[in-house]
Amino acid sequence: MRIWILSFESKYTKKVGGLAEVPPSLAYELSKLGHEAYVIVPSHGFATEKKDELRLVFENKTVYGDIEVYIYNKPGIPHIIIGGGVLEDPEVYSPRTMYDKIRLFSMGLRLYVEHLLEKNIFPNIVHGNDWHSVPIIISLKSVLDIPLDKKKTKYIYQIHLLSEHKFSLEDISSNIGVDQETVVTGTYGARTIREYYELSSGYADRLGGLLSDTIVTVSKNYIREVIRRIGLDLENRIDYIPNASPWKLDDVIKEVAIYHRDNIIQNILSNEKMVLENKHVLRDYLLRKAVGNLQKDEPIIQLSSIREHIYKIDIPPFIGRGKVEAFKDYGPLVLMTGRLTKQKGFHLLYKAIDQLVQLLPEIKILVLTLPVWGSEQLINDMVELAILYRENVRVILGIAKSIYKLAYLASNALLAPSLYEPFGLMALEAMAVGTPVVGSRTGGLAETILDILEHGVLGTGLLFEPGNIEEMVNKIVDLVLLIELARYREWSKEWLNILYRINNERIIELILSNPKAPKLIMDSCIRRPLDYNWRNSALKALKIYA
Amino acid sequence: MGKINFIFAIHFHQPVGQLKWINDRIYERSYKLLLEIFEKYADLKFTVHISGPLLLFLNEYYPEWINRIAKLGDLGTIEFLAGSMGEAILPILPSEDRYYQVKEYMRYFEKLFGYKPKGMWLPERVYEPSLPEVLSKNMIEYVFIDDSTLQRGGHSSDKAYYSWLTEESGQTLKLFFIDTGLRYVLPWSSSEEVFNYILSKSSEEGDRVIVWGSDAEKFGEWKDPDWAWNWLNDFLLKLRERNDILLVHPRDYLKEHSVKGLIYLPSGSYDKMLEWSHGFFRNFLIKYAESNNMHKKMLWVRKKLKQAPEVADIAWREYHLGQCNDAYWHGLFGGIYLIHLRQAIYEKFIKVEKLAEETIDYYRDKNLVFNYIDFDYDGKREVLVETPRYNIYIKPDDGGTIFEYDYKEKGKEHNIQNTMTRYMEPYLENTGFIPDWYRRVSSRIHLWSPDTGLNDWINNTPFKDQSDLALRKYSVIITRDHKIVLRTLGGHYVYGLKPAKILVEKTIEFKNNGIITNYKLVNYGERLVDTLIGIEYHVSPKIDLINKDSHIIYKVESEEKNVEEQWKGIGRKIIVKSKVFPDIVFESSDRENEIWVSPLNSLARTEKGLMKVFQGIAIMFVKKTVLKPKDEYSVRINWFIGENLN
Repeated sequence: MRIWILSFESKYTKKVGGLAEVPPSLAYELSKLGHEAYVIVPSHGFATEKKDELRLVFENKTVYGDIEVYIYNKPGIPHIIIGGGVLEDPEVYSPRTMYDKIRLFSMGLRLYVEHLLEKNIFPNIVHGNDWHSVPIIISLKSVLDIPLDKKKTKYIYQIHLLSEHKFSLEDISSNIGVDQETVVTGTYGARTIREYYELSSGYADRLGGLLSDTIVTVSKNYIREVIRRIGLDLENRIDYIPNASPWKLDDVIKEVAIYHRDNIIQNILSNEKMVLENKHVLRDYLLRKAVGNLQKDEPIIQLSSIREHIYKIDIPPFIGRGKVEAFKDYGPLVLMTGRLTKQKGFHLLYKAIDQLVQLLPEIKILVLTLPVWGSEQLINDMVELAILYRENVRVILGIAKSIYKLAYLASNALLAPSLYEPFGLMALEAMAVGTPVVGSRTGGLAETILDILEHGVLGTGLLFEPGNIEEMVNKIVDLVLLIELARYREWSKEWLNILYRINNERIIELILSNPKAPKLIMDSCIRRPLDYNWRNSALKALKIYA
Repeated sequence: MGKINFIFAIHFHQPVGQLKWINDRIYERSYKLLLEIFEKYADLKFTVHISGPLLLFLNEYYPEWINRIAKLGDLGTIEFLAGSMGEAILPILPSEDRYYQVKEYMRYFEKLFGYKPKGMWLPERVYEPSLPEVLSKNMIEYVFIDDSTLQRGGHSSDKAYYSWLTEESGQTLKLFFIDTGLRYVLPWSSSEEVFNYILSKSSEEGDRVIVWGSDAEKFGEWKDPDWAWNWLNDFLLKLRERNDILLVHPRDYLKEHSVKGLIYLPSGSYDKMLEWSHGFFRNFLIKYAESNNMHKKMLWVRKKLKQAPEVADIAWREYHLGQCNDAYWHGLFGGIYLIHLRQAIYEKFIKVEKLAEETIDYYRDKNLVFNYIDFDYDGKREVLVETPRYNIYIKPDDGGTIFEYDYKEKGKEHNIQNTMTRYMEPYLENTGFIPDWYRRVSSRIHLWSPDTGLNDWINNTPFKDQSDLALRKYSVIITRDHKIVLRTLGGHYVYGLKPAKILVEKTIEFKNNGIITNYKLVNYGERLVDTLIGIEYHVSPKIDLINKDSHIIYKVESEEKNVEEQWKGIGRKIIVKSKVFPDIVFESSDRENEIWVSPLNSLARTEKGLMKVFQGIAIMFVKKTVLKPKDEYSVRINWFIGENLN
């Protein structure tokens, strides 16, 4: 089967969010299962940067600029990169260029398909991801679905994150060079693009759903949200392909070891057992040293206007260029990562900080986040948070690879307070390295995180009602302290002191009845992602494709 | 011509915290006079309410007066009305306290008079529909409320001339209505005019009742005693002769005529009170942060008291007296603007708090207790730092200020932060008065424009503070060595210039007798900040409630000043001295800073025009400075009670 996976980003070309992980990982497993899978992405400047590594396979001109189509084979997963013109703008989701990119991407890929069709080459599956792919699907349908009765291609529209986005009729017709009266097939049979547009009221995810054979999302829980938003008439066409974590403890340890050459740390990183027994030493190293010693070019901030703003900040603990001072002392650590958006719940951390610090004055919070378009207010809030709580908080805005995985490895817990979360890969990644998660009871998080209050030592974290700050604070404190116990000899004075600072009686009972609980919970975490692997996801995808 | 029953209900009250010499004066001018009138007209029927706080005072200082008036009760001249022990506004209290306020009054009254009254005087006539239940459970049969409450409930004003029955949860209460019109003529018009007014409400059946219910002090204190004596004699002599106006006791009226029917009423009070409170008494808790502060202190202390069931009755008595209404509101005169009334409320609550803390061994092996709670119920948390010797309450979201500083030594209980913000009042409009734009408490930081003077500061000249630091929210960190670090990132704003970011850090250390605050301001802007850094404190010296000559002074740089005087100069130390309290000391580590001192006065309306009312002493440590980018200014200010910090 020839499978084309359309995405706006890929970890092998340009990565901004979690979406960049999914298409290449799925494509890789599909190819291992004997299929011809391609990831198709806009260049975002990648083609300009890495021209030598790419093979130009097609060129053309459009009213929006020149089109260049490359094949990129280096990552092991073939990528079809659509470049040229505005598609070479390096900012992936800039509202300034977003529409122009979508237009050119749609037209360019269609021209390339027309070119391939001459050789009778076409995809059996077009698997679009998120709202940006909707005009591209329409553009492809306008050439692939002809004649209608001999439809060659099956369309899958996958929603990773529901969007509020609405298209105008022009956005999906004249602007991408397609006549709005073109007849295409969809949920309601053969109708014109205009008619389908009217059925969707322009709402991108619904339109994507109407025009696809199957709508897919990323977790069972999230299906409910998707149905509510895209329309009950599409209920029977929805399924899910879970994401999976590509992280393996062993690989992560090796990667961390490349960056951190300190002898003691190297010794700990020599094997998994040492790491799990000495997380607190890694933590101490991260907090008091590594956080303050990023690589020269880190943090990398792709958005130039935001970069300029962040680089200027030099109020302690910031020291300019987005870098920060290390912490002065050790403390149990909570990590928060992801795109800097309200959806991820960063504002909740901002609101909760004072309570958190009162309950656990020694707590350390490390925020490793990617600023995105429109996140200016949250950037200011996060900066203020770090300045006002410099004993407790460090915020690194941008990519800091040198400490990213170390932070996952060294933290007591990952905080995932998303208001909604289709899947929440970060939770699985944390678990993969033995770090439990405090997450909101929503979407994928509610599936991947097994609540310790229900599952005991088989649990992998604590869940709280989305947006409930009080509950979130208590759960953070409890989980952090629970993991902190692993540092001390069971029943020692220090161990008991920490134990009785835990709020939840049931957690105290769990530990009293099984003092090895912290260690067992870390083990449960490491096992949990095994249920979510790309092989299973690829098999599920194939079922859906069939 | 018709007939009408007339209830003449006289309400005697002086608040908790009233200065003794004022009580003595009122006794001499008014209460003695009224007693003589009652005795002279012992054949008539008077209805009398003596509030709990006044009853305690009279029993202590004028027991003979109590004996004589009690005798008039036994003779049937006077029907006494019960009240709440602390003359508290019942609906604003926790429901258990509402019950106990009345129960305690009944117990104390019975101890002095030998029986329990049937009717009750509702403090400030503040009625809420929940009251019948709690009053009925205390065996109260009837209360007096304002006739305006009828109109608020959509009833015709004619209903005011009967008694009505209401109920809550099946518990009943009879209601009499105090006539607003009658209050405006009696005793300010001639007897004839009063009679005419009363008769205008009469009926042929003679089953109506009109109630005058108002302050005893109108006779002898408000106007001169001779006038009151003459007016009352004229009025009562003529009344004695009339057979169309029948002076009755409420219980007689009910025996004879019973109630007219069932009625349900909304919340209410008298017309003026509704005007001042914008229709609802509880609004005072919103308008005045200081009122809310006392009210929430009450709730906080109550929690501790509840944990100490074995604590002596005296603690609950003091607690209930701390609920006395006068200090919690303001109409035209005094009330919350009287520093000694607020002082007394805090004194009671601090005393009770200390007693409860000792009983429950609150501190165990600790010296400090930190509470991070929403003390004032505004949805944001405050930091309450408690030690066996003092409490410091901090409000992070109001400029990181200290809004309560309780000294807890036995016999010296006092909130030295009992200062009052000057609010806009209707009678101050168009007088040139500029209300305070922030709460007049302590540890507030201003960046004044360089031309700011002492009077600009104290009189609120607009736009002199060029920063937002005064009102910003501060973060709170409690360090491992039990200090509190408050931090904020604000700005310095000058028209035409780019705002400069200013980081402020206040680190508060808690010593035996007070606190050390280290202030640090850093200019993180890209330009010079030319300013007067003002670190502002307000302090409330303890007033002597017994002796008239309170003699409060302050000493700065070896000069002694009266509290009514201002002072400005280079200085490090200022001591506030009161005869009834240890020294309150402020010490700055900066040898070159100025100290500005001024009385904090509010303005009160009097017959002679606006008059200054002392609300505390305002103190500001001022540093004239030009901060270059990255420059910082640090200063340590000690604030303690007694001879030294430790």
